[in-house]
Amino acid sequence: MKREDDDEKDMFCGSRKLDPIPLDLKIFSFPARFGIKPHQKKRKERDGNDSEVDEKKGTSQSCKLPLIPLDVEAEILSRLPVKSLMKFRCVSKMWSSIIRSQRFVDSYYALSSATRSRFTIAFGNGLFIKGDGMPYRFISSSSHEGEESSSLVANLDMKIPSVRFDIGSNCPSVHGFLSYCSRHRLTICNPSTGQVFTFPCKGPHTSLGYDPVDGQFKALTLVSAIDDQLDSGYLVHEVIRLGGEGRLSRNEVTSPLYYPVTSGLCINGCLYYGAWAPRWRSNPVVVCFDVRSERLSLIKAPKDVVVSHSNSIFIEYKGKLASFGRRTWSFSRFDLWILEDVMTHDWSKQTFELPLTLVNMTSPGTNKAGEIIFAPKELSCKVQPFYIFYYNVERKSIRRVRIHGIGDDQGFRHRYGFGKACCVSMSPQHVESIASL
Amino acid sequence: MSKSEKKIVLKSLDNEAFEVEKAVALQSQTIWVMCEDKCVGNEIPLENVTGQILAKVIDYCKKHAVVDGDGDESSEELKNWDTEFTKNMDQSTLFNMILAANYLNIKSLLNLTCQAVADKTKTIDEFHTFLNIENNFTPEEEAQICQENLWAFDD
Repeated sequence: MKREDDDEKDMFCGSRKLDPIPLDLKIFSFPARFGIKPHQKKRKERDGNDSEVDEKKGTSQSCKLPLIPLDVEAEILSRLPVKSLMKFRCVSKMWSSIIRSQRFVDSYYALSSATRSRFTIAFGNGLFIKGDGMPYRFISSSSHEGEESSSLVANLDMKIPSVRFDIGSNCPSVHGFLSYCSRHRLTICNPSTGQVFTFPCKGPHTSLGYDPVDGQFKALTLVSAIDDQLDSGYLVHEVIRLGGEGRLSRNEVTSPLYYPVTSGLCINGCLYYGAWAPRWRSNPVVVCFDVRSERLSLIKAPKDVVVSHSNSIFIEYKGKLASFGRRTWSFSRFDLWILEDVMTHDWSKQTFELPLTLVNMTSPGTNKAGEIIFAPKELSCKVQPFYIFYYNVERKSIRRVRIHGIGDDQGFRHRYGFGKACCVSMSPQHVESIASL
Repeated sequence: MSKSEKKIVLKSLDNEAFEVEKAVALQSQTIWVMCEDKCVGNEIPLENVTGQILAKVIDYCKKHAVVDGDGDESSEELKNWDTEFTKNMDQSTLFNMILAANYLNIKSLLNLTCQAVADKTKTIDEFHTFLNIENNFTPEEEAQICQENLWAFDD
């Protein structure tokens, strides 16, 4: 597939804009589950005469088989992998319009979320790319399936041309889309459909959020330069609403002064990031952006919640925001600060002992079962196995899982000129979506 | 409750009669509603399901009626049983099972059989044949859709 990079204008690549096909939603509703439906009548007639040859198809094969009601066809479709689904849009006009309807997109997401548990790993080919290699960002994904297995294979879903030195940024998954910010641009992609969407932002600190009530994606950018914040007494942000088919609308919101420390994490309609307020190294706070109301508030936090950019880790833990306390480079115990109540700024602390010592690891969050995942921060400059760890809080046990396909192939590394070590960003609960922006 | 009230007779399209426990049959929402409404006697005619398919549906319901009472411990076993249940079904049986599950309104069986079809059907032609769908795209339209989703075709 052809992908382009264009710094000048908002654009689509990867997937072309589609003309909307009006869909008569009635095709989904077969309220009467009783009585004989027209297609079933047809089946009865056919059953009565098995040797009758279907005139249209002229094959005896099709005549033996009954017709499936459309709502059941949609049930079957929603159980297909995305790739097959995109392929099967060619099956018929009806299927094409079913697959593109919002209702189907939503039900596909719901089923993915309930049954197809996945994670993504984003990585680049390094800061110093060898030879004529172009800088790329690679996105691989795998299912968490096989809870007891000791190895998983991640498939390379996308490679996105990127900016040299574009490393280190997080690549969180928000409602089926991954996003990362580099040099005043936010790039959003859907690894399931291959769509890549990128647009300029007025500041270097942008995060993507999703409002589940209105089904609306919004990006929040800190516009004010952090240096001159103290003169004005407030900070200016831009909220960018993604209107579908590449349309963007922008709005300005302000907040009290703060100094951002971590990148954003979206949990259930709120975008959180760690900060100090009102200035560098002063009081630790969590900035909370309510994606729906577009209101910003500052939540008071214990000192250990916001440490430094590289040492503060925010995760989603049992649906709540949690932060790992201060840790050393290698650690065998850790504290988890959990934001119990957003309104009262109430935090609780839990301490966990690990059965082994982890070195230079971070946590991207938990899997669906609630196990805390630990993953390396970097991809080694040498070809070596890539391991992640699952810590079971109840059983106090840890298991190691090797992930195949994360730059651990000499040929792959050679082809893309992998240089020195580079950052890896894992998103532990990615949901496959067939939506496009 | 007398013994006869606990049992129910299901009669297939081809007049095959199956006597089953009420608890087994009531997994079908359709039968449940029929019994609630008292619109049928102890014998329920199911005019959309053949005896061959109905026997399989009853097998499924028997298995699930028993295990559901036991709680979670056997859920793994049940899952394996489900896999085996659909594994060797040919497409024709599978589709008739889907129709039966849809007509009888047994959600879990519908989920299972739809998943089985999704897993077994790999190509566009298979879908055309098995679902009896006519490809009503013009060659130009089809080419355009394929072009839009080229990435999906590079296996």
